[in-house]
Amino acid sequence: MALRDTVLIGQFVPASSALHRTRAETKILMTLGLIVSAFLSKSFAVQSFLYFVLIILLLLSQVPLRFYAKSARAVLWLVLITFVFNALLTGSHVLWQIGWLAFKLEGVVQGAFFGLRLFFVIFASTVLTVTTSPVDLADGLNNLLRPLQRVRVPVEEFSLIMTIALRFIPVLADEADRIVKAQKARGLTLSGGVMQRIEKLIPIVVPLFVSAFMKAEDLALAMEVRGYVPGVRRSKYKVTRFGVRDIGFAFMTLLVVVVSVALREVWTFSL
Amino acid sequence: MLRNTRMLAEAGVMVALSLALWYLNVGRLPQGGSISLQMLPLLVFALRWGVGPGLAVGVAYGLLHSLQDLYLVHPIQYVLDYPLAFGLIGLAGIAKGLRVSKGVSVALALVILLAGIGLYQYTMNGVLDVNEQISAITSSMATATGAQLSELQSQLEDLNSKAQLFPVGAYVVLVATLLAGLAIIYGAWKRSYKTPVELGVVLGGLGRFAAHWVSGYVFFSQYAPEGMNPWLYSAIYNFLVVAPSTFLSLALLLLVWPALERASSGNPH
Repeated sequence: MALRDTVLIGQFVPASSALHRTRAETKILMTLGLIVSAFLSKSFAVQSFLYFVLIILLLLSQVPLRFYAKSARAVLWLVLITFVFNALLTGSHVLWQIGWLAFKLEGVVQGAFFGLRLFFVIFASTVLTVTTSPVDLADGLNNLLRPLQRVRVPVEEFSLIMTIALRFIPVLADEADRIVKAQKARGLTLSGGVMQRIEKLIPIVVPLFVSAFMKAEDLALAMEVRGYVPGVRRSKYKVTRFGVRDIGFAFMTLLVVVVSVALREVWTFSL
Repeated sequence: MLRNTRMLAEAGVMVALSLALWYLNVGRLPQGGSISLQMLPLLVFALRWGVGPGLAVGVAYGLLHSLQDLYLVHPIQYVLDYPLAFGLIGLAGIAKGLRVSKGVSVALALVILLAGIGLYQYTMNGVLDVNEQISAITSSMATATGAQLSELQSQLEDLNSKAQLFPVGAYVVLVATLLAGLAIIYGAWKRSYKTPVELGVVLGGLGRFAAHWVSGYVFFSQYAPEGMNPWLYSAIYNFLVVAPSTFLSLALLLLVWPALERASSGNPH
């Protein structure tokens, strides 16, 4: 079985929802707006509002919840540890006590808030990566960074590096797998002490790099043959335009930020 | 900076190789956690093409890595942990084209070691000074009143934070310089060629560590309760992440560098 079938790039889940069909640029800005809103204040009102928005987005994405659960699980321990540490170490009003462990009111409130915010940020960024393919994301990111070209940041070349990289990940993963198997067939065993193991990696690493250099050389040649000139603005095969959907999501983001700012003094806690 | 088709093609392929190595966990050590060879292609690229392209490739890798395995708790943390941390691996490119003999490398390592110990001593003396000032202010606070008292209090807070921060900084500098010095001596002892691979790798590793360290501080100061020193926790944690990866890359790169230089016929030099 070829590795390109098993290596799933990113968390992208293909579908044709409204969010999927929105431009990557819009979605990146939207995610940024949501995250900034979450960090603007220590207000529970803002958090509940943002969770409301998040639920709408989750529904709009038409992606089964289990894909989101994967990234939520990754931070679950962090959230729990944050909560317990805060509950035990912050504040003075003891809420309940188990032996010498005293949970304090202020700490519980603060821990709950931090946990909620952490979950929100994780979910909000997962909405972006689940509904946008890595190629679109890289493209969108580069379009957003385009103004940096004025200060001589080579955005165009940078975008090319990312595109090549995305295309070659499965190729090289395949190659690496093949080389490891080939060397194992010749009797290589990856066991022993640390230094021994490192020395045993040589017959894997050297062919891998040699093959990568060769691929790069072929690729450079192929690019030049097709008329690639570094530093010249490239045209695109697929041209997408900003549509009504993009304007809608951008407006919604603006609204969320404004409401978050307006609510920042409601249901706050002070420490 | 990036005006060479061959370089661009190689940059893309090296980023892909890093990601592939990270997926497959090639070279994962026992009990290694997330230690894999992902840094190796980035270091090789920086050593071949220099700092500028190395930085660009690191940033590209960081962004793509973040698309695969996003861990976002704070906007600043994101920038520090992904584009910047991996971008700074490109600092390894400083060693590009340098010709340094073993003796010079060892001498440099000794200078770094001595400088580290000196800085540690100096900072620790500073801590003693601060402690003296703290006790002086506490004793004068007993007699002070009104506005004077509040001014002394703010001074005291300032000094207390200094007393916390200085020793941490001193320890981190000491450990980092010790390890960097040892790594450079090890590298100089292992290699039989003139390119100072070890200097590049150490610089790249330190760059990555610095970015993760600051990001850890941002994170811990956001989420950790009061009473924990965020600088110290971040330093220890990130040290355990970055140092093993760097040393694995260094040990391997020292062994394979001559073969890689021979393999790249379209040599940039």
